[in-house]
This record gives sequence, structure tokens and C-alpha cells, in this order.
Amino acid sequence: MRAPDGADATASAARRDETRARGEEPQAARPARAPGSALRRLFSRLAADPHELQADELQAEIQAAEAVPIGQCRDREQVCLVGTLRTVTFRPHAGVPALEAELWDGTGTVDVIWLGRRNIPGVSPGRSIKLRGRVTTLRGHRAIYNPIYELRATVSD
Amino acid sequence: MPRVPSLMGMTKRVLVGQPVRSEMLGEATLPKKIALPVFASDALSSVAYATEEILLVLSAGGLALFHFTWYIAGAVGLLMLVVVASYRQNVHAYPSGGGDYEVATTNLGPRVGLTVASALMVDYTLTVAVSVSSGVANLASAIPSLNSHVVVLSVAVIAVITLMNLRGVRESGTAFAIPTYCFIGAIAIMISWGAVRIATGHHLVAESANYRIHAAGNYSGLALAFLLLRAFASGCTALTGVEAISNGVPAFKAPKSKNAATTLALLGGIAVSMFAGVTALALAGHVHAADAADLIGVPSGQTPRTVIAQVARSVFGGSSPLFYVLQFVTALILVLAANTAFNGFPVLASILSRDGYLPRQLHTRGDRLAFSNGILLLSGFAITLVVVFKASPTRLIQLYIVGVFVSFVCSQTGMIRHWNRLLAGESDRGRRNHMLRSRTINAIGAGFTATVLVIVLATKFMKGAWIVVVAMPLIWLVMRGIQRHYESVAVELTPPEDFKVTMPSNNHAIVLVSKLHLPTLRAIGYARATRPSRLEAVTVDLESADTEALRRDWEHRAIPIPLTVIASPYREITRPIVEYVKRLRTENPNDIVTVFIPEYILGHWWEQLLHNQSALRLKSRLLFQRRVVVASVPYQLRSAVGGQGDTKSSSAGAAAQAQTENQPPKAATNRK
Repeated sequence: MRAPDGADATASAARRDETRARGEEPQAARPARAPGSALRRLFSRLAADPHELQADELQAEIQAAEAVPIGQCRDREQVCLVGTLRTVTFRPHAGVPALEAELWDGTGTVDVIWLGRRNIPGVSPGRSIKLRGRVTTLRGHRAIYNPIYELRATVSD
Repeated sequence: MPRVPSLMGMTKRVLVGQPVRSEMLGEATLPKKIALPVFASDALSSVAYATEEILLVLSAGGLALFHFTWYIAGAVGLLMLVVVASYRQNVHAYPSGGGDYEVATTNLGPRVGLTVASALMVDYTLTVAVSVSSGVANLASAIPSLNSHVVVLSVAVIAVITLMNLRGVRESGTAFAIPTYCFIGAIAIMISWGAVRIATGHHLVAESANYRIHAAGNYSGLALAFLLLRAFASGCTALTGVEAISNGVPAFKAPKSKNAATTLALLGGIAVSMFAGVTALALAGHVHAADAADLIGVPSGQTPRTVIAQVARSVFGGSSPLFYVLQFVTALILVLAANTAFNGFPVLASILSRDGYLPRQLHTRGDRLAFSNGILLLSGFAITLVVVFKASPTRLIQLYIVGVFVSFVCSQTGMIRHWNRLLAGESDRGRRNHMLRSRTINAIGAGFTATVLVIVLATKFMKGAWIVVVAMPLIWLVMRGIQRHYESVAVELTPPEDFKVTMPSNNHAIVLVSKLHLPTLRAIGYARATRPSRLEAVTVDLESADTEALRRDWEHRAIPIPLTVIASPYREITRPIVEYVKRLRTENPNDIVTVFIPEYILGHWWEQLLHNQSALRLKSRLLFQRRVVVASVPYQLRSAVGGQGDTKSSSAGAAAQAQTENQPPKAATNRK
């Protein structure tokens, strides 16, 4: 599922440079790794925390799936996103039925809202998912309403 | 509800006693005849070992040098009188009881004041160690079978004194007066009895008179002078404790300063005459004291007795009851001397902590109105010293009195400054003359004590005084560090002049949920009662089956707030929550995030082993986040309320639940 280590590192480093050039800070920024020796890469892998490593892995997947990094989405744009659901919020029975989730792809987060649904089988925290929809802004946050979703296979499936 | 008696608490009550209310803290004033023994036991007790220390040092040069003892004792006596005279000026000028620390701080600045404080702290500790070791040594002289247990005995004695002080024996007059007067009386009887025996033609013969001393070297010229100075430095131990009266002026009956000055004069007179008498008898009886290894002729298996014990035996005879009385009283007064340090050290520590140089805990009084923490600190240090130096007074004494003389010098120099300052603004002739005289006395005192300090440092440095020379600056630096810390905290906490309290624009509350049990329901009920702008429940997805069960339960019970499930790819609890809270916070920098943590409280520590303390860990992590408030919602289990409030607490829990369930579903609008 994942590109070999070296390719991954260079690819993500390149992407980071790109985002920086456009004046946007990726959310999971980490000190740029010099493309040095394998030993140095090993050290930086050991020093990095799992959160950062996961961010790198997710970013590699964006490229593989030919999706758009969330950090680069613009408002009112039709996009295809790939990432993992960090949180899923179930609304109480009393209110308007809707299922909310937070998608993270290593470059940023977007709120995903499915109106009219209380629970979607398979939409659970930690799930890897591919979404198509239009990005809007909700309370100063990126959000997508009722996207087309595609649950992606995980190792356990 | 009655307090549940615990084993720890009961042990403490038995040892320390019932707590005393604050209004019992009255300053009892003492008449001179009680004040003298209360404050003088330290200074007087040094008679018990000062002579011995002089003889021990001189023994290095063999018996030939013992005739110098007289000169050295004379010099020590003279120094004692000078110091007493100087301190009489202190007592008049600074009657508030701040002692040397106050004098030095006021006149020479806080740095010097701190030097005095660190010196005094070192010396109080040594006073305890030296006095107790010496007292036990004297006891062992009367009962030789104790010789092999001196360390254990010394530690036990310190423990008992500590306990007594924790109970709050606050300089209680008569308890101190009797042993001190007994000691003075016993020494006086011994001196006069000895004088009578010599006058009637008897010869005093100490048991060590026939011992020969293996001379470590042949001393002459400079080496001899150095040895004599070293003997003098050892003899100066007689001066410790003189400053106790200047710290205790507030405890005297009015007129305080005058009474304190008179008591000081009395103390000086008594101490010098006792010291002179004991030294004279020791010389008359040819007491030969030296390190046990250098003494030739000691019966095998015997530890040589202390000098005062030998003098008493030679005067009264070996099995005379008076000998035993004297030894017992000597041991007792040495213990009392240790006790004066237990009065002085905690008070000094509390003054220092009030000024921000020591942790605040040292300023608070314990159950019995004593400065418990200071007492425990002192006792801990003293026990360490006694154990490390194997309760040997001779070895401990090498560290001793450096601190005392540092504080003497600083306070006398401070007094010169004090008079200079007053003289600059005084025009009355009579008062000027008075001040000039006081200044002269203090100047002489400063000169003498400075000289002695140099001598003490030069002669004792290699013998162990270096430990003190290293320790004092260390304590000084630590106290400066503590003060810097307190100061920077205070600066950071002080609100600026134009500061206005602003309320957070939004309060986003989250309730942590692991299971839907009573504590959780109570926390949800409470969180809703605080009316936050947004409220949600948060759980971490550790096991998808558990999460699914929780979600169903949530739906089934119709809890009216949204439930957010956080993914945890690495099966952690703390980190995903902290990250989530951080994200909530960064959204709106003006907001407050309140985290409600339901906790069930266990009654016994062993029960806590069975529950992982994830709530505690989480709380400590969250407290480091800015603009995050952590609210613990406790739920007392039956074991925690001691079988009394169990029905109450469970009904309260049920009430919380009922409230949660019966609430109309309008709460859904909480989430805009």
C-alpha cells in the first residue's frame, strides 16, 4: 500500500517544498530532512513521532490515489480527497439526524457531514476513506456536505 | 460524619499529640532566672568538651606541650568575654529577635544576610550532631558498656528530641532550668571540692595520668605555633550558642533588651569560670587525652573516658555517686544544647522562607504550633552527620564553629555600619559618646572574631572544615535560586495596572466517556448544568466492539448530547484526547475548552492498584495546555465514604441519571 521508504521521503519532501512555495504551511510540518545518508534518514525516522510518520504515509496515499491534498483545497471547489477519519460524531436522537466526521490526510482536516443519516456502517474512526464533493466553509472550517464516499480496504478487511 | 481513624493518623496522634488551636500561640515571656538556662544550655554545655578538644590537639606534640593549655584556655576565655560584650550591643540595637541574620541583612545587604543564614544553618545542624555525640560519649564514660552503641544511641537521642519538639516543647521554662542549674551546680561543686582537696594537700590523679602519649612529631617554631593555633581553634567551640540570646530577646520579660544584656553578661561569666575551673582541674590531675591510637598504657578493651569524666573521677573518686550524677547531668545538658538548635533552626528557616529564600512549607506551623518541617529537616541532616562521622565528637568538631564565626564576623561588621549610620544623624553629645563606645566594642569584636575565623579556617581546613566551606556556598546558591524562582513567579502572576478581567467568548465543554456508568452520567448532568456554549461527549476508539456497544447504549438511553469517537491508531488514550482538545482550542483563540472527567473515588490505596490511573495522567497532561480547564467530577464508591454515605451517594448518582434522562430533548440545539 505504501511506496518504498526512500521514494516516499523524497516525494513528501518535494510536496512540502511545493506547499511552502505557495505560502501555505502544511499542518503536519516537520523539519525538512536533508536528502542525506540512509543513516540520517533512519535517525529522523526514530526521532519522529508516530503522528508525523502517519502524516507522511497518508500524504503518499494522496498521490497514489490521484487525489487533492486538503491543505490545497480552495473554497467552492469540486475535489477528490483521500485520508483517514480522525473522529466520528454521533448526534443525539433528539436533534436533526446527521453524521459528522473529521477527515485528515496529513496536510489538513475537513469536516464531513452526511445529512439525514445517524450511522453509516463502515464510517468509523480510523477508517481510510475516499471522498468526492464540493468544499465549503463552515464556521471558518473546510467542510463537505453529503460527499460520495468510498471505503478503502484496511489490512483487517 | 466522624473522621475515619487510619493507622497512620493514630500513630501520629500517639507520637505527636492532639493538634493545638492557633490562638494558643502566645509568646510567653521569661524572667532572667529562667531565660538564662533556656538560652545558655548550648553555650554552657561546650564546657563539657572544649577542654578536651584543646588537650587532644596538643597531644600531637606529646606531653611536653600540655603546659600551653593554660594560655590557650586564657585566650578562649578572653575571646568569650569580647564576644559577649559585642553581643550586648546587638541586643540593645536589635531587640526584635532577628539575630545575626537581621543585623547583617539590614546593614550589609541581603547577600551578606544570606551568607549569615547559610552559615547559621550549617552550624545549627552541627550543634545537634556535636552535642548529641558528646552527650552520648559522656554517658558511655559513666557506663562503659555503651561504647559500642554510640551511633545508634545518638540517632535515638536525636529522634527523641525531634519528637519532643514536634510535640511542641516551646522553651518551656522549668524543664530547661533544672538540668542547666544542676549542671552549673555540679561543675561548681566539682571545682570547689577539687580546690579544697588541692588546698589540703591532696594530689588529684586522673586515671590517664600514667598513660604516655605517642608524639606524632617534634614541634618547634612555625609548626608549634600552628599547632597552638589549632588547639585554640578547637577551644573556640566554647563560644557556640552565645548568639542564642540575641535571637531570643522577644522572649524576655520587659525591659527586654536590658534583661537580655544582663543574662548575656551572666552567661559569659559563668561559662568562662566553668571553663577555667575544669581546665585547671584537668591540668592539676594530669589528664592525658589523645586519640586512642596514640595513648600508651590504656588497659586493653577500654575506651579512654572523656576529660570531664576523668576530672570528676579524680575529684570525687571512681565509684562516687557524685561522679555518676555529674556524668548524667553533663549528658542531659548536652541534649538540651542540641535542643536549642531545634529552637533556632526552625525559626531561622521560617524567617528565611518568609523572605522567599526557602520553600514556603518551612514557614507553616504544624499541628502543635511548632515549625514541623524545619524540625524534621534539621533532624534529618543531623542524623546523617552523626551516622557519617560515626558519632565521634572529635571528628565532628573539626567542621564546627566555622559557621558560628562567619556569622559573628558578619553581624559585628554590620553593627559597625549600624553605628556609623546612626552617628551620621546624631548631634547629642551624650548619645554620640555612647554610640562611639558601642562602635568601639563592636569593632574590637569584629576584629577578634575575624582573626579567629582566619585561624579556624587555616588550621581546620584540611581536617574537615572544607566540607563546611563547600556546603555554605552551596546552600547560599540554592537559597538564591529559590528566591529567584519565587520572584519570577510573583512577577509573572502580578496583574498589570490596567488589567481588566475578560470573560471567554465561548466555552466548549467536553465530557470524557469510557463507559456509560453512573460516574459518567453524573458528569454529563453536571456539565449540562454549567450551561457551556457547546457540549459534547468524547470517547476514544480502543476496541471497535466496545465503541459500538457504547454508541448503542448512548442511543438506547437517549443521552441528549452528541458523542464524538476519536480514532486511536496506536491504542493510546491520553494522546488522542490531548490532540483533540488542542484542535478544539486552536480553532478559536478566545475560547475556553472545559474537559469534564468523571472519576470514581476508591477508599483504599490497594484498590487503586487495580485501576489504571488514566484519568490522573490525562488530567496532568491537560493542565499544561493553555486555555483548557479540567473539571473532575468525583463519584465516591461505597468504600470511600466509609459505609455511611453509601445510600446517599448512590441516590445522588441516580438523581443525576434521572436528570439526564428526563431532560427534554432541546439540548440538541447545544450544537449549533
